[in-house]
Amino acid sequence: MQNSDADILKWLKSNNPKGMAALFDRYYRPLVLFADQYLHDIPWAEDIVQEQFVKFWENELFAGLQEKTLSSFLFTITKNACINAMERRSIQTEELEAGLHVAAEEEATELDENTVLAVRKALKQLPERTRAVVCCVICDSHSYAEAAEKLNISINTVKTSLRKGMKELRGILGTHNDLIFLLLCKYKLSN
Amino acid sequence: MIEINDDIYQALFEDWGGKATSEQTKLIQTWLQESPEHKEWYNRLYHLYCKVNYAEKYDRVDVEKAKEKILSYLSAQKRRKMWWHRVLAWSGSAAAVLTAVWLFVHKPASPEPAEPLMAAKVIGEQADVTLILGNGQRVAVQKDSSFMLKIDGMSVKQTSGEGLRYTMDQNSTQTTTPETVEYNIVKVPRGSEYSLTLADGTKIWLNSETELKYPVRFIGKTRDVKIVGEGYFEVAKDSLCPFIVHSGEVKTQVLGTSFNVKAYSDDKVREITLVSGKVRINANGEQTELLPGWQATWDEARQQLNHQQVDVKPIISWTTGMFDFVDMPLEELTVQLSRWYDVDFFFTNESIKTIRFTGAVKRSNTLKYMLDFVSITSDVHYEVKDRTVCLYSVK
Repeated sequence: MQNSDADILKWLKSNNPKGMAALFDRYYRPLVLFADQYLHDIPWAEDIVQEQFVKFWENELFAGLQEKTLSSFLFTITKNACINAMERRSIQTEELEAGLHVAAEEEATELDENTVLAVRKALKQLPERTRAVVCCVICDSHSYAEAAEKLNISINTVKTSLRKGMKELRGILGTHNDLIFLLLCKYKLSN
Repeated sequence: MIEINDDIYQALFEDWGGKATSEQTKLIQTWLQESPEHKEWYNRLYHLYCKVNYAEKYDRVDVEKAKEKILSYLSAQKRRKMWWHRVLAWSGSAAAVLTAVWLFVHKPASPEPAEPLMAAKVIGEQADVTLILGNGQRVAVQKDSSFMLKIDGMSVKQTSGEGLRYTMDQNSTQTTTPETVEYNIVKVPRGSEYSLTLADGTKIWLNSETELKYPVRFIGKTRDVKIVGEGYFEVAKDSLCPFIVHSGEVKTQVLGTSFNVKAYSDDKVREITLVSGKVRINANGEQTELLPGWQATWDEARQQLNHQQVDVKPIISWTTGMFDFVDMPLEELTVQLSRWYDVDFFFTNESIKTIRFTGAVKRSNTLKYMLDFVSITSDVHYEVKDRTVCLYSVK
């Protein structure tokens, strides 16, 4: 059972050791996966997030935070730390534009075991090769060419499989908002 | 539905995976600017991408391992920080005073070999602390026990982990200051540590093989305590009633400050090191005042008081559970080890006494660990027999 942001902040501010433990339980994984969107390297992402947690605690950055601002504060300092870290390694940092930051953060905050199960179940419903392509490109961050080589298929097969796979996943995992959006698109296009 | 051509589609996925070429990035940007629907669509797809990506990588993040690592790091830092906070951020209501005093202590007649010493054993935690009351009655204090005594209108409470605390009895009818006061003594044996809070709120941590004598209440114009051994004082501020630590001939008067006093038994030089604030030192008539980072030394035989600048951190490292030694001769290091591990050292070779060591090692490590540290980093070998450690040169 995860604790609410209000509890986490209350504990942190009263110097209760439960605070940092609860912060880890609630935010560590989402922040690491979020950071991984920038860094494409889980160990590096873990390192960055740990460093932020230490700073967060030692500099008492939680002191001025409210229940509503805790989450976005953590994601913001993590994002900035990622960008700085990438700049230090001279990696181009323009790849994730502002809107993507929001999407990556939203998905990270909503991430829970149920989502994980739903995604895994959805992936299982895909034809084997489609699933392999999706995993290769999305989860292992391979380029199309790398995926083609790894799976010993043509690039065209990668293209079609991925497109097909994403469409199906959207169909299975699609949210309420997705449906509205699709309808909206159709409506607009038909006009 | 919006039709996305394969090149865009590929560019998006490779961009999100950090694999896009600059052409692909440009392609995406142009495409995004073509219509707001592209942008919306792009966001939707990225949401799905993240969802799948996160879910698949979920198990690659070991939360427990990271949590354990960082929490233990933070608690170690916190302990350090608390000390330094207390010491350096003095100014408010409490003056922190550090005293580490080694006075000449008669070597007890060779200790009973209670049990054969295993070099791997830390003796630190078990030894009993003795509280000697004004009437001479001795109380053996188990550090993890709790009890309460009433002495002279005061409550004396021992709690596990907190040590002794003297507080004015709420029900005490004494309104006038009595002229006499009862003194208590706390004796900390080798291999142990202890802390207590005096009636004025002053907190004192005592290192192994240390004796502290103090009044159960403070009366009169000064607050006087007497120490033989090593102690860390966090003195409650009271500018009208100075706190004076007596250590042999050396009196250290607190003027709102934090400092460290250390005196070795063999050369009979006492060292007083100021961490912050101000102290006045009076050694048998010779007087001096110290600035932070400065150390005064009192040579008892020559009756000489000198001062010099020093690094204060290693000097008070024991308070944070560390043996911190910088360029320290082996002979000096073994003195510290013998007090903490309750062993005696025997040098079979004089020349190795002057070998110097630098390091910071947790006191919670075993004696064997410490000895291995010494032997690995030098040509000194050791042999443990009962409670004696023989050191010899392998050259």
